[in-house]
Amino acid sequence: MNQILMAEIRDILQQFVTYMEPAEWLFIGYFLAVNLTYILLVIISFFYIRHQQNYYQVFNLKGLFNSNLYKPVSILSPAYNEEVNIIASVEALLQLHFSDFEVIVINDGSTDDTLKLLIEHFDLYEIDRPVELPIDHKPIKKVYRSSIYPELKVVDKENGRKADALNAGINVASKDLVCSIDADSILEPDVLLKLLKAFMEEENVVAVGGIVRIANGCTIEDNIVKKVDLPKSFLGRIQTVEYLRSFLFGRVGWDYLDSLLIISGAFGVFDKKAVVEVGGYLHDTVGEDMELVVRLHRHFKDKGEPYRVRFLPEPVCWPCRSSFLLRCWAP
Amino acid sequence: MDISVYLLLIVSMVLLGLTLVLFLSAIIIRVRHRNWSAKLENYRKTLMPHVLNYLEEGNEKEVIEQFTGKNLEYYAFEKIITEMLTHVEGTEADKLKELLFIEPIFDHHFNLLRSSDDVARVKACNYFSNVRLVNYKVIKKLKGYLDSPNQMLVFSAATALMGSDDVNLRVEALSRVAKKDFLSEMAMIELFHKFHSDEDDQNEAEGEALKIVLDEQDIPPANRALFIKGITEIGYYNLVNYLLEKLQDPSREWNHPEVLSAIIKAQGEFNNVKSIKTLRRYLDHEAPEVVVSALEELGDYGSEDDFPYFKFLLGHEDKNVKKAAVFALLKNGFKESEILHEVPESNIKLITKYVLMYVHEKRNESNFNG
Repeated sequence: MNQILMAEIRDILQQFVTYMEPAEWLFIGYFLAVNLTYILLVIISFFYIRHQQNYYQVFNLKGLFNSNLYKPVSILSPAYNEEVNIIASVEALLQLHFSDFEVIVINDGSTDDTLKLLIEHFDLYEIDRPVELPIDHKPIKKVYRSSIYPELKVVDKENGRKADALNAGINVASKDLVCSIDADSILEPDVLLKLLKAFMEEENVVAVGGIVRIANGCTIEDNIVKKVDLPKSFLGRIQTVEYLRSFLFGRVGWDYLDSLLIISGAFGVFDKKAVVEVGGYLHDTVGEDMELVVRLHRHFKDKGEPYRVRFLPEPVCWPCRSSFLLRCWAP
Repeated sequence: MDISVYLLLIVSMVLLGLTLVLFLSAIIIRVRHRNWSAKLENYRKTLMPHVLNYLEEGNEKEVIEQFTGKNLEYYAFEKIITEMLTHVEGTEADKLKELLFIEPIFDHHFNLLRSSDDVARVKACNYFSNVRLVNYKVIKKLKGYLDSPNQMLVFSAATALMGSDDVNLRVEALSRVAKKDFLSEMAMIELFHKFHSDEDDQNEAEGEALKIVLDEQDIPPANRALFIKGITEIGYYNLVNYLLEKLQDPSREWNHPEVLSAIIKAQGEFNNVKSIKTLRRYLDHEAPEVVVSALEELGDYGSEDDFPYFKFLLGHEDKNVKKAAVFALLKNGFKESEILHEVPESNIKLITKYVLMYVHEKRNESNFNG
C-alpha cells in the first residue's frame, strides 16, 4: 500500500518537474536577479555609508538652532494601553535636543489608565479642539495641554488603530514637520538634529527615515541606551539581525538610487503639508507607512514637482519589542 | 550535465564568493575600527595631562612635544579640545582655542586644506572655523573653495570664513554663497546665523554690510527673502528704512511675492509706523501671500481707516486672504455678527470657520497665559 502511494507521489513529482522544465530559465533568472540586487545594494550601502560618515562629521549646526526660521517638528506618539511605560517615554521625548518642537501623545481609546496617568503626571488641562480637520479620523473626545511642559499636548480619541491615531495627531500638530514614532520607543537625544541633515543637504525633502534598532537586551538608563547588546530570546536575536539588514543594507541602497518606498512607521519625519495634501495615512491597510510613502511619490510625480524621500543611516530610534511575535516583526 | 545546471552552479559560486568577500570586509573593518579606537584612547590618555598642565601653567611647548606626526594624534587632540570647549567658558575657553592654533596642528590642517581630496578639505575648513583667521594664504584658499561644485565644501569654507572677526570678509563670503541656488534653505539660514557675530558692537557694521549683499542683483528671490527674515529675527534695526525704501519702489529683483512679503513682515516686527501708508498699497497686490502679510501687519496697527479695506477683502477669491481679513477685523474688536453681515451667503460657512479658528486660538492662548 505504502509502496503504491510512494510510486504515485514520485509520478506526480516527475510530472511536475517535466511540466516546469520549460520555465527553468525563469527560475534561474529570478534567483540571479534577486540575489544580485541584494548584493548590489550591500555594496552600494557600504560605500554610501562611508561617504556620508566622512561628510557628516563637518556639520556644526549651532547657528541654525538659535533660529526659529527653520522647520520645527511635532512628534506624534500614538498610545494604546501603554500605562506601564507612557510617563517615562513622554518624559524622554520632552528632553530631546531641539530648539522648537512639540510632543503630541494620541491616546487611541486606551482601556487602561494611560490617559489618567498622563493627566495627573503632566498636570494636563483641556484646550479647544482644532477647528480645521483636513484629514479624516475617529472623533476626538478632548485635547489637553500640560501646564508643566507647554510643548506637550495629549489628544484623547476613540479607538481607530495606529494610522487613525496618527491622522488625528497630524490634525492637531502645529509645526511644519511631523515625526511619527511608537509610544514604546526611545529616541536618542540628538536624533532630530541628525535627521534634519537631510533637509540641509537638499531642498524639497518631503520625508526622512532613520534607523530603528531593537532595544531589547540593551542597557537603558534614564531613557538613554547606554550599552548595546542582543536580546536574550532566539527570535529576538534573529529580529535584530533582520532589522540591521533591512535598514543598513536595503534602505541605504534604495536611498542612493532615489527609490525608497518605505519610511518605517516606528520612526520617520514627514512634511506636514505634503502628508495633508495626500490625505494622511490610510486606515484600511496593514503597511500604512509604506502606503503613505508610495502615495507621496505618486502625488509629486503627477504634479511634476521636485521632491525627495530620504533615509539616513545615522539617527537611531530604539523600540522595545515584546510578545505577540515581537510585535508582528516588520521593520 | 545540462547547461542550466552549470549556470546555476556558477551563479551560486559567484554569490557565495561575493558574500564571503563582504563578510571578510566587515570583519576587517570591525578589527581596524577597534584598533583605531584603542589607539585613540591611548593618545587621549597621553595628551590629556599635558593639556590640563597647559591650562594651569600656560606652557604650550610641553603639548607641542607630544606630536610625532601621526594623523591620529591630531584627531585625538582636536577631539579633546572641542569636547573641553563645550564645558568651559571665558579665559579658559580662549586659552584652549589658542592651543588649537599651535604650529603642528595648524600645519597639519593647512596641508589638508591644500590636498586634492574634498573630505580632507572639508575637515580643514572645520578646523579653521574654530581658530582665528589671520593667515592670508588660508583665507585665499577658503575663498577659492566658495566656487567649488561640491556643496559640502562650499558650506564648510563659508562657515570657516564666517568665523572671522572681519565683517568685510564675512560679507564677501555671504554675498558669494547667496548667489548659489544649490544650497538648501536650511544651509542658508545656518550661514546667515554664522554671519551674525555675538559681539553687540558689530551689529551696526553688519547691518551696513548686509546692504551690499542685498544690493546685488543676481541673488535668487528665495535667498533674498530668507536674508530679510534673518534680518528681522536677529534685529538689524538700522535696515528698517532701507527695506522700506525697497518696498516703496521695488526694482525688478525686489519685486517678487516672497521678498515683498518678507519686507512687509519685517516692517511689522520692527513696529515701523512710517510704513503704514506703503503697506496699504499692498492690500490690492496681485499675489495673495503679499496681501495676507499686509493684512496681518495692518491688522496689528489697528487704524480705523483700514477697516473698510479689511471688510472688502472678506470677498477676496483667495481663502488665505479671507482668513487674514477675518482675523484682522476680530483683532480690532469687530463682532462675529458684524463680519458675517458683510459677506454673501455662499461664504458664510467658510467665514464662520475662520471666526471659530480665531476664537480657538485666542482661548488657547489665554488658557496658557492664565
